[in-house]
Amino acid sequence: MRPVYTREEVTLTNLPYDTLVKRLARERNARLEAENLLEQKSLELYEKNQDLAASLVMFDKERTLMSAVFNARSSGLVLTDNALRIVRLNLSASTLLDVPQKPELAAPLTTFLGGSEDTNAWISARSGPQARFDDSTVEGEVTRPDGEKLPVRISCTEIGHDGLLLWILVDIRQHLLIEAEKELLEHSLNQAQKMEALGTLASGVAHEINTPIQYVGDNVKFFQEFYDGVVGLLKAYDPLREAVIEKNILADLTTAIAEQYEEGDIDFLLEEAPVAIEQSLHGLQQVASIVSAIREFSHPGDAELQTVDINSVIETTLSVSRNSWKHVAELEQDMDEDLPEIIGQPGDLHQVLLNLIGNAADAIEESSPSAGGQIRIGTRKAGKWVEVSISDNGTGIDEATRERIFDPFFTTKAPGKGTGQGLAIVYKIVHVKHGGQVTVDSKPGEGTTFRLKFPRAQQTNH
Amino acid sequence: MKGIVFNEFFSLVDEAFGAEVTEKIIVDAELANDGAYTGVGNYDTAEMVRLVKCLHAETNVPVADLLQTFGKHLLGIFKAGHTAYFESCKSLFEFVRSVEDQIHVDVLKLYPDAELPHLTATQVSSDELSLVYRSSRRMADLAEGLLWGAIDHYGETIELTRTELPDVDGDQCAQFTLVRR
Repeated sequence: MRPVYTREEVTLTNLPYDTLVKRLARERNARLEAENLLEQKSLELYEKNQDLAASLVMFDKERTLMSAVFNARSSGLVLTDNALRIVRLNLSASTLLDVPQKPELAAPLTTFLGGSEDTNAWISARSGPQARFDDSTVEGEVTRPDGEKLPVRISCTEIGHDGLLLWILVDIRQHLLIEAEKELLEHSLNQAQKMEALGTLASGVAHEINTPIQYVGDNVKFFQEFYDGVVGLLKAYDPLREAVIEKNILADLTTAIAEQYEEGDIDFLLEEAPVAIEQSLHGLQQVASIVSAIREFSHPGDAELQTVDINSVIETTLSVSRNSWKHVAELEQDMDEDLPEIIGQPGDLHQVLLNLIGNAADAIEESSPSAGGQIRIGTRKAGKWVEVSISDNGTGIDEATRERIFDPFFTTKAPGKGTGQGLAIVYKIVHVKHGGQVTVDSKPGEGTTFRLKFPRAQQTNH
Repeated sequence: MKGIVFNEFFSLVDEAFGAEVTEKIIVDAELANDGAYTGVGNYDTAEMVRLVKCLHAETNVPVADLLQTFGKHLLGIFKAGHTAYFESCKSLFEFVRSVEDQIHVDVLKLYPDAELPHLTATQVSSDELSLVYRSSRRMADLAEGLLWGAIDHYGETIELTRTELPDVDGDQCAQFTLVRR
């Protein structure tokens, strides 16, 4: 018996003829079957090829579709491997990152994307073998090749094969702008409501105070006149008293009068009474001013709105208020000569500028800067706004105070120097009457800048 | 069962018992195609069972011996066709462990309709391997012959014992224990 693993055939010549015939017949049948099988397999192969070609066409269409969708998305789509190396990015991502759509292979996503410590941790948690994924998003920033940083909202999902990750980057610049404007608007609304409430209360109080203050003032003036009359009368009596004493008559009466003088300390009264009356009148005048300011705040003038050249209003205000600042500060002006007009009330705007310039002068006077006081007034176009800035190098305002400076009755000035209405009036005139904005930047010890923004005339709804 | 197995069976019968016996069992087995098998064709396993039974009737050699001999013969055929694979396995145990996970996987890629036995190899210790055979085709003897062929190929001193296991859902089950000496 030959080894079983050889392919040697039994020697055919040793086989009987009829066996050879049978084997030949079997071989022929086997060959025919093999040919049939080959044909069948060829057909199957052809059909498979057809299916494959159809699949390729379908895949190509799908690929084209996916590519179109990928590139049409307004969000930045970045495909990375699980080591965060960029594999592919869409048109929006290319624009957002400011890199060609086919960046250098294997550039790490973290070259362009990052943010706070939390953001970086969020990104890192999605890389490597221990990566974790969820539906969360995080805010971060894209750093472009020129160093510009753009805020983005980031999300990330697994593709499902080859460790590929899809990063979705949404440019949130516009969103943040809208949010900031919304926040400012809400703040304005709150402030306006607060001022409205306080204004109503103050208006009532002012009304109640106004009448007694008027007749108290009138009475004090009456007493002032009465005092002048009495003093004149007393002085008229002096020669009579001296003559009676000299003639030594009516000694009892003169002695009683002298004692009454002494006892009543009339000389002192005569000397101090006018001062007391003057101080009372001054105090009453201050109270009247405060009442007047409160009433003005609560019931501002109803003058009609008109187009206003804010540069011209500033010039007028500076001219009128020169005496209030010329001894404490130099004035620097930076006016835009092509400034668009705004819609407003010149009188109110005049009041706003007077208040701010007065505050600037007070702040400089209080701090007495070694380099000398300086007030800067500037105007410029700022998109759809006209901006007026008033800066000083005075005491500055701390953060806690900044929160309250537009509140009615809030003042940091010494008693008797401020009514606490100035900036509240500024706020109300700018925001409520002119649809504008007023903001303040300040550093204690360095100075303060108020920025007023008014809508340009052609863009207002007035 | 692939046609090549039938053709190799005839080849073995030719050389072991002579061409006349081959021709006789082909006639006795009443095969559907009169014994004309194409190597890559697929045929009913029952035909092989009938052939083996007819050979047993003709020669009085037990069926188990016939199948084991044929299994040993088949391993030689497989080895000649897949030399590189046999060389890549450095030991008998490595080869036996790879049958289910590699050879059968590749066979199914080429012939998705192939009915293969289910083999479970367990390395009991560094010198002992357990192989459980399960198949509806009931060819444990053929499997044992293949194992003997593999033992010869790797030239290791192996003690092979076979334990019949109860059938599972009509499938024949057997455990082969290979102990390296």
